[in-house]
This record gives sequence, structure tokens and C-alpha cells, in this order.
Amino acid sequence: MQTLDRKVVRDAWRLAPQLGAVAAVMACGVAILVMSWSMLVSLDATQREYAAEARFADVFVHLKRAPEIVGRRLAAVPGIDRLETRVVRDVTLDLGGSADRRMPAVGRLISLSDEADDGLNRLTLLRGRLPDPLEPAETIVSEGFATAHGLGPGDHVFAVLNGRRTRLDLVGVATSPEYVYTIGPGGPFPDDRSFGVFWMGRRGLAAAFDMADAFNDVVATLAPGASLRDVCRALDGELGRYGGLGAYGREFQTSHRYLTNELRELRNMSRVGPVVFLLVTTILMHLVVSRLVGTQREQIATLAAFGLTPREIGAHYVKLALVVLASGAAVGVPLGWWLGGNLAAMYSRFFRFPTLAFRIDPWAVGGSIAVASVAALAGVVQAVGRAVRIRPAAAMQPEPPAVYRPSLPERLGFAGLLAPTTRMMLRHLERRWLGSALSVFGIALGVAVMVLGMFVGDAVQHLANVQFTEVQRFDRSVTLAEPAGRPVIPELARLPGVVAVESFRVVPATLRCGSRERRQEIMAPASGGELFRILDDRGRVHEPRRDGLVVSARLAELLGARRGDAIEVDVLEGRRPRVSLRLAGTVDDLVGTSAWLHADALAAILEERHAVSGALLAIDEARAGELDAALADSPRVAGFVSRDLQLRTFRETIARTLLRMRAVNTLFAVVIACGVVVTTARQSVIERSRDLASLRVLGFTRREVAAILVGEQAMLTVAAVPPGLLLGYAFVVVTTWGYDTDLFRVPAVVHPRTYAISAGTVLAASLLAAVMIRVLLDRLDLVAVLKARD
Amino acid sequence: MSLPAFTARGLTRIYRLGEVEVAALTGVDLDLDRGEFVVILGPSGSGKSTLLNILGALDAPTAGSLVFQDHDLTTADDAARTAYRRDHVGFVFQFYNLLPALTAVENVAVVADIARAPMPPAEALGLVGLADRADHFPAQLSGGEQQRVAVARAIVKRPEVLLCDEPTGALDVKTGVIVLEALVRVSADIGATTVLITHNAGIAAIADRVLIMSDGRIAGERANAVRAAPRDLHW
Repeated sequence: MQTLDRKVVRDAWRLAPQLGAVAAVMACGVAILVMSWSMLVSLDATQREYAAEARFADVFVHLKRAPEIVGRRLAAVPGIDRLETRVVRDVTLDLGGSADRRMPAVGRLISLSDEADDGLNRLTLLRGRLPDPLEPAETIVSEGFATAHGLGPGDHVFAVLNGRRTRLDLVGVATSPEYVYTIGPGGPFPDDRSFGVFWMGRRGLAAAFDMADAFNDVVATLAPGASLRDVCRALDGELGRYGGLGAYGREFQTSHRYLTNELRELRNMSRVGPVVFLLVTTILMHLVVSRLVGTQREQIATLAAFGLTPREIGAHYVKLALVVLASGAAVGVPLGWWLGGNLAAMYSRFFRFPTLAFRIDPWAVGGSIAVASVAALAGVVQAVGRAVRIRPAAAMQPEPPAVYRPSLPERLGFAGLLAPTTRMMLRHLERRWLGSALSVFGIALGVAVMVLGMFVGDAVQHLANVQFTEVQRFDRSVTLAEPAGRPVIPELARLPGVVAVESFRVVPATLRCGSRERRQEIMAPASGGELFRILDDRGRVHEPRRDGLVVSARLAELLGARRGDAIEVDVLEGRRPRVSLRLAGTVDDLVGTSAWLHADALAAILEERHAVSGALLAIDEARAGELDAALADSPRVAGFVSRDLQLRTFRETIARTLLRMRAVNTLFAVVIACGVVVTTARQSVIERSRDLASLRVLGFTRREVAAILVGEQAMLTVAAVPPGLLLGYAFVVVTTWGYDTDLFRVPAVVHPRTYAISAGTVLAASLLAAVMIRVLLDRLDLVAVLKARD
Repeated sequence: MSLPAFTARGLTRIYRLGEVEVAALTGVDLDLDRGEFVVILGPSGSGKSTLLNILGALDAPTAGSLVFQDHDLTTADDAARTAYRRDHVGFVFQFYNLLPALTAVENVAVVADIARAPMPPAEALGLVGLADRADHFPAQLSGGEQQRVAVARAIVKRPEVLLCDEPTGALDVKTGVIVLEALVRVSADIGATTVLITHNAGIAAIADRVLIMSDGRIAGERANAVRAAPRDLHW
């Protein structure tokens, strides 16, 4: 080690608290980068590898019923590599428990081909075995449902198959590439307690649903170079008359879409967060090193006088940045690794891969260190420039007193109102305006990151409130196995505990505008209904129209349609009419995409007299168990959803996860806030020690002297809070753009409490800094400080 | 006869630097009368700065006693020492130690604000001949002017004690003389006991009494029958 390097070590040691604070902020940035980039790589690789390994299908289509012979024709469609027909049915499950506490749950039964270990969407068995084709009751259950209910091989559940209560014997637990992310009919959040997937032998399932030699679902892979669009068109042509609901590619497959969406959000996260942290790193580095160069002016001049080149002098200060970089990376990389492991564990609760291992990506580590280096070096570049311009002659003369002038309030004529100490504070802050501005900006970023971190909770709470209390005001949503006539309404009303019934009609359709098209159900709620409302993001209620479709703004955007445009609608049910409807209005709603039409208008299109697809029920909670049992036993009911259960699951899974993420974000924000506040406070103590020692000698008490610095700190903090809150809101808005998908939109809703906590945390950090200032000043050696020339 | 301003007995100050002990003062006995102007001479390391720091309650003796009027400074805690400086002592430093963010008059006012019966800051500046530079910042003043502001700041509270640490050390002769004239005049005006330390023997003639320090003790003492005027000094 060269002698000059010892000075680097000693300077670093002397400035350890400040440099430590800078390194801590940098470590957070590095950790987020390592975590999100590595997670991105891990998740992306896992998704691709799993899809390839399990032969995840490229094309999907559901239909009403077609004879098996059609399946053979479909397999011959040009562009199809391999095609499988299946029987898929949603049924209500009976999970046991006493009659008044039966939990409503929906099971999706999927037939397994006889060569299940060689087919498409191949299952990965986690426990147990595949069903014996000769044993119709043997069933495999999806991992999420099994975990949520503590089920495993040897257990059984009951399901209502075509009106018959049937026992399903569980022989295995598995994952499927089709249900990595499991969303039930209730959507849009995963709910492993009330939705599960069950795979069983084709024969048993077909027999139960009268589907012998028939199928109602098709999955296929494409031959290399085949056109998805052409294949879908060919499949739709063949299956139209069999009630085909429209073929679609992987891109629209629910699980795949959610996963892709999550990858996009991760990518988003890997951009915004680290930028903020590394920006703060640059600011703090600048504050610390520029002041250091200021105080070491004579030392630098002396070194120059002894013949050190500007390059050697510059390198000396660059090494300080490298010390911070090394410390930041030494903490940040393992922290990112650890956070990534936690994130992977969290993901594996929602994304059911056979294994989701967090693999630290060497490129992510290298990349994050490279980005952090840029941030650290950017912080010292100006100070190094100043250091290399100091001439040797400066060593021979004392530095002239700093040049001050009256501050702005004094120039505006308020001088008389200000005590000398207040003038000192204002003039000092104004003279070091760049440092003051950077401190304010740094503290404001701390506030902003805090707002951003906490906003996620607010937004999800808002989303849940809107969805579960304002939009869905029903207690149970019942889907019928087949559309029925109006008499079903009084039937449902007679069930135990039902207080109100509102029917709805929903039909699958393809909407087309110009060259763009999209599969979309058209929903007609009961006219004048109270249990379901169409709400926009500002809480305004919209009504379905007779004169055209009202659609989610997001759907209109996807179709490239504007109000008044004609939308071609292919209804994929019944007579499969094709009509042209006007786009009558759009709604900025929050969840999924929807298209609504007045019930009378839809009935007219379908040429039916108010058929019913399902009903929304308001119930007497005291009789909920009885009702659920009755619904589960009803052969007309394909499934039903309990809003309370959805909400509870939502709170216990998504909300808890988000709260944990919020805790991490908040911790990071506290690091920024403390980092900036502590660094500026320590810097000002060093910078002003001579002035403050003079005041102490002149008879000022410790408290009076501390008040000057604390006052300056308070001014900076108070000045930083309002722009910090505004900046936080701006971050929130930018972040919501990243979440603006067709699955859900995150509203830029920030609870006043979030603002209060964010501001409060930074003010608390300032208080901490005030205590630190006081401690440092108490340690000030008056005699030594006054003897030193600067 | 009135009580002396200071009575010191056996003042000892030992600094511990790691394993080594350095005795900066070794049993100093000293009486200073009220209104007396004392110059302490001595080479570097003779202990004069340590003595001044202890008289100003910036430092505490390791052994011995020091009484200012009726205040026992030996046992005073930090708050009492701060109060002592605030109420009774004015300091003038070699490197001025002005607050660069405050103008000349504000540098004086900052002390006046916490004093019990100060003179108006402008008057203090007038006493050192800087009434017309009141609104200048330190960066706009020459070294001599800065030191005169420091003198004004020291005397604005009408202190009973004026402690000056090499007040001319950073100044040329001509400027040093101007500063000393201001010091001598105003210390007489307010009747302060003044202690000035310097290694410049040429200054000693302006004192009532001269103490010579060496190796941490008072090695010699003499009284000037007639005090010289600063303008007659040469060094």
C-alpha cells in the first residue's frame, strides 16, 4: 500500500458515518437491481423451461360438445403439430364440514389422456401417482388447492357431477403449465381455497357428463413456422357449429398472461427503484467528497507542491468513491440475493411451478455493480475536478474567509425580523445553495420513495374496496350449468337465506373493430339491479345501454375503437348471431376488460326471451351454510362464488404479501431518508465546527449552538417535504402506467395517511439527526478547533 | 483593597497522549488584580496558551485551584463554565474566528444578544474605529479590521476579563499596532482585567505587569513602571 493510500483509508475511517450512509443507500439500489434482474432471469427461464418441458400448448379452444371424429379432422388442420381433445367441466365441490359451514368452492375437472405422461400440458407429479385409467374415481389435485386444504394422496373430496354427488379419490398432487397461476371463475385474484383443478381419467369424466366419444375442449401445439392466426381461423371454422368459443393463443391463456404480466412488472421495478437510490448515492457522494476537498485544500496544494500530478491527486479522491462502491456492493449483493430468495418464496405461493429456484445471475451482479460505479463516480467528478485545479501556491496562503451576503429574506426587507443566528442559517444555506438544493432533493427523494412504497398498499386496498364493496355488492354469484328461462329466479329466491336475486345474462363473443379483434364476454346485468354496478375509477356509476356497447376503456383501446365506432360482434353461443353494435360509451374501470349491454338489447340479439346465465344473491348470513349446501347440491348450478370468501382470501394472500413488500420498501425509504439527513447533518457539523466552537467560547450554551445546526437541518427538511410528497405522487403516477394492463389497472390513489407517514418518517429521521448533531457538538474540542486554521 | 480578579494556586495541567504524559502546567501560582493589563511572554510549549485556556474555562486543570472573584472555576461543571464565559469573559483569538456568515456589526451583536448588560454593538465597533465598516462581511475586511471586529465582539458585553491569544500573531506590525491601540484603550475604558499572551517580547511594554513562562511554570515577573503606548512599539 502506498503511503497516500493510507490517507484514503484514514479519510474513509474518519468519514465512516457519512460514507457508511452513502454506502447503505447504494446497497439498497444494488440489492434491488440484483434481486429484480436475477428474479427476472430466474422467472423467465423457469417459465420457458417449464413450458418446453411440459409441452405447454400453443392454442386453446373451448366448445359446447363435439363428437370425437371432429377431433381427428382438427388434428389434420395445416399448421397443427399435435392436438388433443379433452373434457373440461367446472363443478361445485363439497369439502365436508358441518351443513351450516360448508365452504363454497369450484373445481375444474380436466380429463387426462391415456398417455398422460406423454401428452400436452403434461402434469408434474409432486406427490403420489397418476390415476389408474380403469379407476374412474382416481383424481389428481392441483398443488395450490391441495396445500390450501391440507389434501394429499389418500384423501378424498366430493364433487357434484351432473347433479350426482361423486367421490373423488386423490392419488396425486401435481402442477400443470396451464395452471401455474390459478384464477377461478370469480377472478381476478388467485384463490386456492375456493378454486382447484382436478385431473381424472377421460372415461370416468366423459361418462359422468354424457361425453362418451365426445369432447368440449381442445389444446394443440403449432408446427414450426405455422401461423397462429390461420390455425385459430381454421379451428373456429370447424368448431363453430359445435359451440366453439373461439380459439386463442398462449398469449391469452390466463395463467400465461398473468405470469407475463408479472415479468413486465418486475422489469418495471428494476427500472424505477434503483434509479432513485443511485441518484441519491450520487448526491450524497457529491456532498461528502466536495466538502472533503474543500477542507483539504492546503493538503492538496502541499501534495501538488511536492510534485504529485493532478492525475495522482484526482485518483486519490476517486479511491474514496471506490471504497463506498466496494462497501455498497459487499452489502447490496448478498442483500439482493437474500431478498431474491424471499421474493421467490413469495412467488412460489402464487406461481405453482414444479420448482421456482432463485438463481443469482452473474450478469445482474456485474450490471448492478457497473451501474453503482457510475453513480459513485458521478458523485465525485466535480470535487475531483476542483481538487486537480488547486495550485501549489495555495498551500502557502490561508484560505480567505468564505464570502457571504445578505440572504433573500433580508434583501426583501425582512432583516429586522431575523435574529443574528437565523441570519447565519439563511446566509449559510443560500451561500451553499447547490449543497442545500441537493440535500433538499435527497430528502425529497426519501419522502417520495416512502410514498411510492406505501402507495402499493393504498392502491390494492382501494382496488379491493371498489371491487368487493362497490362493484360486487352481492353475497353469492351463481353460474348456471346451462342458460335457463326466467322461472329459475323464483326457484333461487326460494332457497334458504336468499334475500334478493338478480339475474344476469352473459354470452361469449368475439368483438372486432377494423383489423383488431378480441374474445370478450358480453354481460347484461339485470336492469335496475342493485347487486352489481358498473363503476369507473372515480366511483361514478354507469348504466348498460340499449343503443350499443359500454366497454372498459382499456378494451376500447385494445380494439382501437372510439365512441360511436361500429363494433362487429360474433356471439359464440346459441344461434351464433353476427351483429354490428355501436360503441356507446367507455368506462375507466379497474379490473379486467368488460363489455356491457342492456339485457333487453342482448335478448333481442339472441332472439330469446330473457334467458338467464346466472344470478347474484343477497343473503341472510345466518343461513349461509344452508344455502351453500343447497347450491352445491343443485344440478342446475355449475358453480358459485362467495364474495366474503374472496375478500378474505384476498386479504390473507395478496394483501399480506403486499404488506410485506411494503415493509421492505418502507425500510429502504427510511435508509434513504436517514442517509441523506445524517450525511447532511454530519457534514454541517464538520463544516461549521469552527464557527460553532467560536460561539461556544463566546458563551453560547451547547443547546444554543446545536439550535443553529438543527435549525438549518429543520429548514432543509421542511423545505423538502412538500416537493417530496409531490414527487412521490409523480412516482406513483409513473408506476401505475407500468401496471396498466388488461388484467387490472392500479389506480393512482394515495391515502392521506400515506402522505402523513412519509412526511412523519422523514421528520423523525431529522429528529434523529438533531440528536446526533447535539452529540457531535458535545464532543467538539473547543481549543483544538480554534487553534486549527480551518 | 478589593479582591483580586483571579487567584490561582498550584495550577497543573497534564495531557495524556497515549502512553505519554505531557505536563503543560506544573504548579502555577498567580494573582491578577482587577483592571490589570498583563502580558504573558514565553516560547512555544511554555504553557501560556494552556494557562489562558484555563483562565477562560475552555480547559480545566488537572490539579490546583482557580478562583475568579467568588467563582471556583476548578470544580465548575460545563454549564457553569459556559455561564462564566457568557457573563464575564471576552476572547480575542489569533485567527479572529469571526463568523463569516455575519457582518461586522452582527458578529458583535451575536454576543450582545446573550449578554446581561452589553453596550450597543455599533458603539463597540466605534470604540475600535470601525463604525463605517459595520455592514461589511468578514470576507470584505482586511486582517487588521477583522481582528478589530473581534476586539469589539470581545468587549461589547463589558466583560470583567479580556483574554487575548496572540492577537497580533497573524498581522503585520502596522496593523498589529492599530489592534493593540484598540485593545489597550477599550480595556481601560471598561476596566477589564486583560491577559494577553504572545511570544513577541516587543509587546510587553504596554502591560502593567509582564509574566514570563517557561516549561509550564512562571519563570519570571516584572512590572512596568510606565506603560508604553502601542504606537511607540517596534518589533
